Amino acid sequence: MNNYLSLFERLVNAQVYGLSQVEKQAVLLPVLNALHQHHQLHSCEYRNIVNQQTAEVDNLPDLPFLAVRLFKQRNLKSVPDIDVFKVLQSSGTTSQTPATIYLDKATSARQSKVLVKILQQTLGRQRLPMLIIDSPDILKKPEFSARAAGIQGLAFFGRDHTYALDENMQLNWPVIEAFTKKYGQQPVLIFGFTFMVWLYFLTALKHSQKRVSLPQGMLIHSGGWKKLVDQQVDNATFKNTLNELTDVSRCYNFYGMAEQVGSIFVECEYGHLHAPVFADVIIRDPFTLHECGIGKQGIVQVLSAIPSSYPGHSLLTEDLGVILGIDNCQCGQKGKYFAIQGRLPKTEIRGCSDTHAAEVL
Amino acid sequence: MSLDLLAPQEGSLDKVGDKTQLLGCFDPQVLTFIEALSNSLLTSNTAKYHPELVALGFWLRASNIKNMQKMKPSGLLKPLGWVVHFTPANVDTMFIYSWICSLLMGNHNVIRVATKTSALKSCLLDILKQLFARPEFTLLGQHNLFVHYDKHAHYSATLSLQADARVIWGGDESVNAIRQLPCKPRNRDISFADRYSAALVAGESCTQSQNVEQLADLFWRDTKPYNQQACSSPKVIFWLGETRYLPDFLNALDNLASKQASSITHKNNQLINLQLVKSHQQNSQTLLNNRICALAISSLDSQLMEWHAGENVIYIRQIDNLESLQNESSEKLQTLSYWGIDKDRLLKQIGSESILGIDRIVPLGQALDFEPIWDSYDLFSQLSRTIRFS
Repeated sequence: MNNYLSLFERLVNAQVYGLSQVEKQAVLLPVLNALHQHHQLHSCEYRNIVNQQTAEVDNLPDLPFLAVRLFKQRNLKSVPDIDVFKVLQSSGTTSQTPATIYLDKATSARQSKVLVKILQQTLGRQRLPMLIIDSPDILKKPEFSARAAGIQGLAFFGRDHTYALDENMQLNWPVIEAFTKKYGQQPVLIFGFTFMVWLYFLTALKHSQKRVSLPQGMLIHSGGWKKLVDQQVDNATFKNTLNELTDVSRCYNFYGMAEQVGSIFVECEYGHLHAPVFADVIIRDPFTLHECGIGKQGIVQVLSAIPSSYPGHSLLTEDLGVILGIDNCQCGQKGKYFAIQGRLPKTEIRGCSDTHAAEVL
Repeated sequence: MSLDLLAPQEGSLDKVGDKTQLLGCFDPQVLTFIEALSNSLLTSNTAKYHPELVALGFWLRASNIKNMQKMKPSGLLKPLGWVVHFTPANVDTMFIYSWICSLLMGNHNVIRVATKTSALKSCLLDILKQLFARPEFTLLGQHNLFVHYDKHAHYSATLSLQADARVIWGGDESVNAIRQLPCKPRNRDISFADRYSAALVAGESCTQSQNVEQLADLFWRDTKPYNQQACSSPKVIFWLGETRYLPDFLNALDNLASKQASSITHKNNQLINLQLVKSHQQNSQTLLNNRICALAISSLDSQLMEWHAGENVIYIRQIDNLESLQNESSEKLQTLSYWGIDKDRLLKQIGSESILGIDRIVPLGQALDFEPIWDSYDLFSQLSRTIRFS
C-alpha cells in the first residue's frame, strides 16, 4: 500500500494532459500494477478471478480487467467492513440491479482530489457561481445515488449553488431569472446530466418559448447519450441548441461512471474525450476482446489509478467507442483521445440520467 | 389491451370452448394435419434457414408419430377438453412439441406465444396460418388458436378459469405467477420450470483424435440450437476419469463453434459468466477461452447454474467415479446425456442410488429430441383422461 501511495503521488505531481503516451505509461503502469497486487491481497473475489494472471505486467493492455457487470452481482471490496465510509449505488430502478461500490476515506479523498486536478484544467481555479440543472430534492433521498454523488463532486467547483429545477423536474423560473439577472454578465458554471439538460432544461425552455442569456457561461455535462441518440440529437445539435437558447458557447461533455468516480475523461475544444494522467482507455474487439487499433470501434475498457477500497482499477464497460488518436489532438493535449459511440445491445441502460429517461419515456 | 390472433387467420375463443366437437386420440384428421405440417417445414424456403424448424419437421414425420403412438397409454382414452399453453421466450419451438402432444390426444388448444418475436417464430406461424387456411384444416384451426397478448393483460387469468389443463413453460417466476391464477378445481398443471442439463463423458473412452471429434460433434449437436439455452441443452460436462483427451475435445468443439457467426455481445457475456464463477469459486480454472469458454469447476451449485447464460460456456466437473454423480446431481438437473459409458453400468448406478433430479438419460447428441415423456410428465396421459372400464 505504501508503495502504491508513493507511486500515486507521482501522478498527482505530473501534468494532467502533458505527458506523451509513452511517458504516461511509465508513471501510470506502476500504480496499476501496485493496485493489481493490492487487490489480490485484499479481495478474495479479485484474487480468484485473476488466479491465472497474478504477475505484474509490462504494458497497460496486459492488465487483467473485470466485467463492469460484476459490481451489480457481487459485493467487491478490498477493505474490512469497518473501514467502509460510503457505499455508492449506481443508478438503478426496480427493473435494474444497481452497482454497489464500497469506498473508504482514502479512496473517497483521492476521487475528489483527482476530480479537482482534472476539471481545473478545463474550468480554471476560480469558484464560479453555479447553476445546477437538477432538483435539490435529489440530495435529500436516503440512498446515495450516483446522480447525487455527481452533483456533490461538481459542487466543489462552484459557489452560490442554484438548482434550476423544482421537485417536479420543472423549470424553476423565478430562481433561474434571479440567477441570470445577478450573474448574466460574468463567468458562471452550469452542470447537469446530459439527458436532463436536454429534456428538462433546453427542451423545456423551447416549449415555454423562453431563453436565458449567460454568454460567459460554461456547461459541463455527463451521462449517457442513448436517449439523445434515439431522438437523433448528436453532440453538435446539443451544442447549437444550447447556444441558441442560453448564449452559452463553452460546453464540455465528460465520460465517467459510478464504478470509477473521479478519473473522468473530459472533452476538449475539438469535441474529443481525453484520458488524463490518472486514467486510460483501451478499446477491445467485441469478438475477441483483443486490443483494437486506432479508428476501430470496440468495447471500452477504462483504467483508473484511484480505487484501492474496491477492485475497480481496470474495468471492461459495456460502452462502445473508438480511439481517435494518440498524442496528436489539435488541442495540444497529449495521450489518447477517443469518442464514445453507443452501448452493447441488450444490456441494461446505465448512467444516472439514462435511468431517469427510462422512467419518463 | 387486446388479444392478437397470430394463427389461424380468423377464430374465436368461443369456438375453442365448444367441447361438443372434441376429436378422439390420434384422430386421422390430426395425423393428416401433422404430416402436412411436417412437409411444409421440410420443404419451406424460409424454414430451411432455421435448423430448429428442420428438426421439428423431422420430428413430426408420420413414422415418428407412429412410433409415439406406441407410448400412448392403453385403455379407453378421451381428450381432457381445453388446454392452454403458456410458452417460453427463449426457446422458440419447444411449445410446438407440447402442443402436438395435446393435439394428438384430441384437445382444443390456446397457445399464448411469448412477447419476443424472432424470424424463426414468424416463419413457423406463417406456415401454420397457411395450413389452417386450407379447407381440410379449417375446423382444426378453429380449435387451435395461437395468440399473443401483453403479459399485463387479463387474458392469462381469463384463460386459466376455462382451461382443463395448463401447460406452463417458463422460468420459475413465470410458472409460479401463472399457477397463482385461479383455475378449475380439476385443472391439471404441467409445469416446465427452470431446469438445466448435463453430459456425462467417460474419459477412458477417448482413445484417438477421431473419436474425440465424434464426441465434439455430438456435444455440439446438443448445444448449438437455441444458443444452449434450452432446459435440455447441456451446460455442464461430468468428465469421468482420464482427462488426457479433454483439451483435444475442447479444441475440436471450438473449431465447430468458430464456424458459426458470433454476436457482438457473445464474448462480454462469456466474460461476465466466467468472472462471476471465478469470484465465487477459488479453484475454478479457465481451460479454454475462445469461441467456446470452458471452465473447470470444483463443485456445482445452484448459483453457478443461475449465472450460466448459454453463449457456449461449459462447466467441466471432473469426477473420479460414477458414484460421485449422486453428489453432483440436484432437483434442477433434467437431462443427463451420456457418451462412452456402458448403458447397463449407468442404469445400474442410477437405479441403485437415491438421487435428486435427472428425469431423462439419453445418448449424447439426442439431448434436444423431444419425447412425450418430458420432465417426467407423461404428456399423453396427463393431457387425456382414461375411462376405467371393467
